[in-house]
Amino acid sequence: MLPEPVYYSKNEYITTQSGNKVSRKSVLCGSQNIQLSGKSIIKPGVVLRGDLALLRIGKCVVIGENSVLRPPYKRYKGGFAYFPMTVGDYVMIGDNSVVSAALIGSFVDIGEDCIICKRCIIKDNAKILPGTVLAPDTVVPPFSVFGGAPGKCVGELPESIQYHNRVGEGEGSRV
Amino acid sequence: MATATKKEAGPTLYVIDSEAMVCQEAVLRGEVTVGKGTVIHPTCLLDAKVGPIRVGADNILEEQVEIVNTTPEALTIGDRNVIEVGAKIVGAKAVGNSNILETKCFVGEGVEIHNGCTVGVASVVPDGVVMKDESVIFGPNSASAKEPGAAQYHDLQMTRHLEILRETLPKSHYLKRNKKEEEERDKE
Repeated sequence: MLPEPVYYSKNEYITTQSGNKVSRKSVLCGSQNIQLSGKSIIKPGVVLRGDLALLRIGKCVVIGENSVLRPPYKRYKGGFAYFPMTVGDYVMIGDNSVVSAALIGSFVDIGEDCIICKRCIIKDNAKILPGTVLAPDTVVPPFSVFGGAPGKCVGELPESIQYHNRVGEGEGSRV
Repeated sequence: MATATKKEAGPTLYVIDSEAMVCQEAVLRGEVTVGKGTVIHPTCLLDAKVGPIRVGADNILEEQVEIVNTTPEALTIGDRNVIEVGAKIVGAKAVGNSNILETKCFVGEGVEIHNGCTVGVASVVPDGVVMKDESVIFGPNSASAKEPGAAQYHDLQMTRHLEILRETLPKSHYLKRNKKEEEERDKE
């Protein structure tokens, strides 16, 4: 089941050489620290904080409106540091989400209004239901569905989910 | 010179301390005072709709924070508070010192927050509540608890965080300055 195509106007987005579509209304901080691998879509109002630490984003990633991606930080005895954040390929992040996970694997589906707290690790093929609040340092195993506040495992996904999430690739633009 | 007069005509009544850091992408509307050492991240909104907003020293205000004053009295925010991404403070009376308002929390009208309090992720502080010293509100049902010694603990964690932000932010952001300082810089 393919999602309906969403059309966009070309003058509201900047297309980079590797096929990333970045909205002109998004806020990219420290752009030298943001790596986009290609074919990713960044919608209006998105805030990417590359100035705090390195932000690595894979290919075919869709980041919904007004979402914030900021690298996590950790306070430890006598110290404080921001850590780099990595987002895998084919990741969908819904609108109005706040993500400060340490690692997001590939084929992850994050719903709308989610809050992924500091240093969470989301493994490949996981699904985070809309409105979930993941507590700091949560580890989401592969093929699991997390929901609720605080987020808990509510189900599992079939192994075929990877192919399902990948379907949009051939379409070029999966907004 | 033309730009300077234009600025005076606009609603730029804000006063920013010379040691505060306010990113250019942040929006300050109306009578806003920002104290020494406060760090305001981009896309933060401070809207003094009716009365003024006074932000104290050494606060951290992250992205998409919305602070709106809907009452004619001044909304004061004390010192060493952390207000995380997407938190909303609408029409609150006062926020004390050393508080942590976590991601996407909502502080309603007439709320008074004393010192060392924590408002949890996505929780709502209902209208008119007074949060006493070192209390915690958390979860979807706004459950409350006490956390003795929180104020001191919060302060300890703040210092290093502020230092790092003061180092990293100016590297990739333009900072908002006072009108006077801007004019002086233009002259130079």
